Amino acid sequence: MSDSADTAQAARPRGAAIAAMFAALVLLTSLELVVVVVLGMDRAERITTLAGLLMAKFMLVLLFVMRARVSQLVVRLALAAIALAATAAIVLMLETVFRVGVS
Amino acid sequence: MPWSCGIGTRVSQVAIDGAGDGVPDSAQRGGGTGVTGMWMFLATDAMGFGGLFIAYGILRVRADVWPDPRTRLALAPAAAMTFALLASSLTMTLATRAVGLRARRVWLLVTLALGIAFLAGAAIEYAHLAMGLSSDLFASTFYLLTGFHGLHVLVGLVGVAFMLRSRFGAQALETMGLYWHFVDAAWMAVFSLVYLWPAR
Repeated sequence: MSDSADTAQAARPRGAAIAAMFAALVLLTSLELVVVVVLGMDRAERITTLAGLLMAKFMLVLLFVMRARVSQLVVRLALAAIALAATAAIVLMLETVFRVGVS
Repeated sequence: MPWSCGIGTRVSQVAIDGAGDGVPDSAQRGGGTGVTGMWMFLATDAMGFGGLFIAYGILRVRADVWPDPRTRLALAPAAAMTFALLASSLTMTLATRAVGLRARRVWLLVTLALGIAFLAGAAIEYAHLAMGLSSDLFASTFYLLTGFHGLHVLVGLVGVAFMLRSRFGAQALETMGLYWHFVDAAWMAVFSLVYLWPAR
């Protein structure tokens, strides 16, 4: 059995870790709703906060729920492509938003 | 040589697991070609979503008028759909780590129900919207993004339903789980960009 395989087995999440992961996801989603519905932020602050929360949720799912952090080299390459696409999408949209002018 | 070793390991492992529930648990030992193949597929699919998101952002910013999403879309049902999909991701994780075919099937059944609830919510939302596919740019991009994602959920549901009817292995379940979590992550982006980001 390879080292990476042993690592993957050892890194299999326990019940408490799973509960913590999904509690964090629910909390971050609730925070998004609070930012939109409750807090009176201006547009630029709101977009930046929402983008940050989105990236946090995305990384949480990718690294802990999908357990990409304990995967093999090929998987890491695929992960890099996913991260590149997601980051490009977010950064380009933010850049365009701020270039056109906010509020 | 690595391939032949892999096959040998797999065969001996199936033989060992034959004494248990008959489900080889190779996913616990680092996954296999199915998992790697799914990661490759997800990478290309993520680029598809990424392209759509970039197009959405550019169209949205360049539009003369862009309505506030809250004037067109109901936030509460969309939030409920989001939590349903999150819960389905949790039940898929529980199915993946469950011991025994029966426990896995139970969690998969719950996942299936939550996925169906999500799609039903989307269908009800579509039925109540006061805009059509070609009403304006907001409507077109909304239907494109949510429809593209809904198609992914539908494919995932077909996959889960197929697994419920067959005698599946742990690696197949791990592969299915990866896809389902990706669909969940994609919805997070759709929900944030389409429903939450404020208008200009």
